[in-house]
Amino acid sequence: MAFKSLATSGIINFAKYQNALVGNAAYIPDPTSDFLITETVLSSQSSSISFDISSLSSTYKHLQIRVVARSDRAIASDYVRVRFNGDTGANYSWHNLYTDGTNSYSEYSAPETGMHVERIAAANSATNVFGVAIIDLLDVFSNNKYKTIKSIGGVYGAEDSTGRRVQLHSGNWRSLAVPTSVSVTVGGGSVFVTGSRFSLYGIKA
Amino acid sequence: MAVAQYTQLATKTLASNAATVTFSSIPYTYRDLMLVCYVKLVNGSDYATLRFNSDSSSSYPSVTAWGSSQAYISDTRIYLRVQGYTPVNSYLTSIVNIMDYSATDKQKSLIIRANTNDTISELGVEMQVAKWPSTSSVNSLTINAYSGGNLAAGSTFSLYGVK
Repeated sequence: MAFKSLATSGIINFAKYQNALVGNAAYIPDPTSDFLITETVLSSQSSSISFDISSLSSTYKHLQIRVVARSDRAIASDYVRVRFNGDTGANYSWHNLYTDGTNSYSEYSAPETGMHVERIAAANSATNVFGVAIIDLLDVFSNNKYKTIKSIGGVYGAEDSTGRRVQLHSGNWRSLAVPTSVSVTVGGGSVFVTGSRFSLYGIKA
Repeated sequence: MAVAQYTQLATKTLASNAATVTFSSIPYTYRDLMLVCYVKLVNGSDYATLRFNSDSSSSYPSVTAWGSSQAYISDTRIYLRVQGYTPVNSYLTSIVNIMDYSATDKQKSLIIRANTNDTISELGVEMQVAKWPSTSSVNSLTINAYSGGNLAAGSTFSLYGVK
């Protein structure tokens, strides 16, 4: 966070506040470091989307994927899996914190075939509702670290415990390989519906 | 060719107390909006709230969790922080992502993170997903105080377009 203004905090007027950021923005995105790389908005349904990231390692340190999606599975909400390099082996783990507004929960996985990110809308969500997620892939091009992601998101698609969720997720891919692709696949063998959107951003060091 | 992810559309800093902050004539040339708020309320027990397109009649449902509890709410506004109130000497920090804000085939979903440095026992760190159940494009945002009171001088609000 950058201090750009002391006009409010009172160097000359001796006004006192509990927070040194007063009068400054809580967060200032850097227009010189964060970039849209590519985007897919589905014109027909698809079970998965994949981004080729093989050319990005020399320019970006982190990646972000923004998801606005809905599946066709006959449930109130669904999940997606994030994978690297087409690896479908049990080389991933994840855990989360979430609430349905009535109770709060935490979950973790044993080694799995993908990192879960939840929740998106599904067929039993209200019409025109799509779930949302912002997924950060941190230091993703490192060849001496396992790859870690974190995400926040959820959906308000139905008035029940499965149709309304807000969730924090974290996961890892236990590989030192430099990723050349990252995919987002809907869970449960279903498909993303038309209009689902996936945007890839790069963040420079 | 990569394009900058964030473009600052407008920033408003209150030089004096005000009932309302409005961002209007929002262009439709971005994918998402991000609203960054640093807000203090004049009334000791109050909330900062958000509406779209001056819509004060729709129900805006939300689901949220904070330090010690959770809730789901349906009200005629979205709370920038649901848990508790924002005490008079405390600033609320809230980052609001409004996803696919101009899509006319989608209801508008929001991801909200918030915190405050208040002094009550329930510390305010909160995650929230909310919804404006409309397929209309968002062309304005209105922030005001739930009680009908004022947002305090020194509060800042920055709106970014996200490609």
